[in-house]
Amino acid sequence: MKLQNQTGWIVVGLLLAAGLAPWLLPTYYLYLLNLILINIILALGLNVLTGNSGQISLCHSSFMAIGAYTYTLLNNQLHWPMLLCVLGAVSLASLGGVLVGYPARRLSGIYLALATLAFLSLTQILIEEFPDLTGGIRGLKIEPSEFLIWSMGNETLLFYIVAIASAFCLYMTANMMRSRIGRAFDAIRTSPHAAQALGIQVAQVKLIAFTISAAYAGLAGALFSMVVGFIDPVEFGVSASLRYITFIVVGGMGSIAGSVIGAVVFTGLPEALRGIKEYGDLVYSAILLLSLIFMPNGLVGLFRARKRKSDSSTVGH
Amino acid sequence: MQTKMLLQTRGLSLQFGGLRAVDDVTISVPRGQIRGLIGPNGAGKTTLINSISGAIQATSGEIEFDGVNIEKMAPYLISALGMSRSFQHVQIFGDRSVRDNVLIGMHRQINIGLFAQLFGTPHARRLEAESREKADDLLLRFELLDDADRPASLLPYGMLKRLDLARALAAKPKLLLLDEPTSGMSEEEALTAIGMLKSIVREENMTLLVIEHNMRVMMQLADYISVLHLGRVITQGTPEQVTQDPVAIEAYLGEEVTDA
Repeated sequence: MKLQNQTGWIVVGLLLAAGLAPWLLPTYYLYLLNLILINIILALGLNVLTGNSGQISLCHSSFMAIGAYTYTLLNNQLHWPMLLCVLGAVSLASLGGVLVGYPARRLSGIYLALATLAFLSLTQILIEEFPDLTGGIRGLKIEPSEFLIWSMGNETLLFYIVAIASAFCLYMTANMMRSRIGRAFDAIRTSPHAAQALGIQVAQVKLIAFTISAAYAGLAGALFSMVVGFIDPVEFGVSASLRYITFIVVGGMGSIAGSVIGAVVFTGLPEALRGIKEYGDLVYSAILLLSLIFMPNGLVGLFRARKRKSDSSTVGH
Repeated sequence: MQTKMLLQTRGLSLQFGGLRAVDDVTISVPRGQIRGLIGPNGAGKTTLINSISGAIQATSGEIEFDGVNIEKMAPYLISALGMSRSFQHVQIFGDRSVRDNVLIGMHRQINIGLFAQLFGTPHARRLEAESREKADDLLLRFELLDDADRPASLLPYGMLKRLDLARALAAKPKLLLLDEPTSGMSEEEALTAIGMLKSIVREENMTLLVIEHNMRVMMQLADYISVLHLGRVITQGTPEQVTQDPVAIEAYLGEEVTDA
């Protein structure tokens, strides 16, 4: 009861903070906050796939690219309403997830890493080979549009859209982890044999994990193009995919809190390190290496271990 | 003898390279029977169970389960027909809670659409709550309810074995395959666990095929025992018959009979 109360207050506090943020924060920080929220969505999706279901993906930036380009093209060329553009982006990214997930049902480990890397190269090539549609390596500008009566260029509106989408994804992920499908995700990672014997269709569950994960990335991509206003294919390369993996590995695999913490730290960090320019990458890498060595279960693992220690001293087991 | 058989194998063989781990095994298990499977190490007991559950495909022969030929089926399909199993070395989902482990065992019975789960519809929540209650009933019977919310990885070995049993039973299978359910338990723990198991199996009219090394436990549990040696069934009968059978004694029981 006490815990529920506490969670309630945290939610109220966050809502209040989110409601006020666009009125209080300077433009740059609001922009940064948007990026953090978008990366949280991405990390949540990737963590479902990698942390829970045990499937590696090096092509999450491709799913994000599919979302970003679909949103932009639907907006620029067909002038669809914003929500329909987002829906289109999410659907097409999910389809990309199915496309990768289908062969991935029988692959794992290094082979899966290579297969997803191949998909990443494929999307990069497609972007570059169809410059009439995608703008090629020069990128693509998002044309201004309206949502209901407001211009999509409105910072406050943008922030609310991103924040609501992010909260919605958090809510969905929490539901997922508490229900049948979330348990199946963890089961196929921990022991595929036991999972199968208990009636879990491992191949199908892997495919679902890929699809859901890609849908999250697609949503992140659509929001990204809204917020940044311009899409550059360089944003969707292999280094971006690796950065997303960093989020969940350092934050905590298979944990919602881990996704959030990882996205916050590793979106904020490069910005914070901007002052020391050339040493920025060095510090970033050092933090990554050190956290892998000293916190193999991520930042969340560190917190849990401490909590467990205090728990076991009170429970007489 | 016109009892309807739940499980029948005919000429089942499984070859690993030059080794015939299971060699022309023909057994029939009638509905509601608790069938014991004994034999020395390397007799092919676990391999037999693995091939019945579909974990390994048999080289030749037939397996008929509840009127369906299953020798070529994927494990999850066999499971869907009503077969469940436990493992010799516990394969628990360690980072999930004890209760979640049982709920994973109930995977097939929980029928909620994917989107209903994601959006947490009232319907999905109600079904989920009902499944939790069922899981808790089972945990109570296996004396695990107090630890329902702990991560399963924190349980001591004996409790893990009980959890493994509870999880396998959660699917309410017609046939339950158990691979050394009491290994690593103390004699007392083993007899208690077996008592719980037997009462549930009888209540639900389940059929059991169980590998067990502890003969005292086996005598309490089994209605009928098949003795495996070098991949073959060398003799079968009631526990009393088997313990008197010179063939079985020579192959496996040896001196253990005298103190059983």
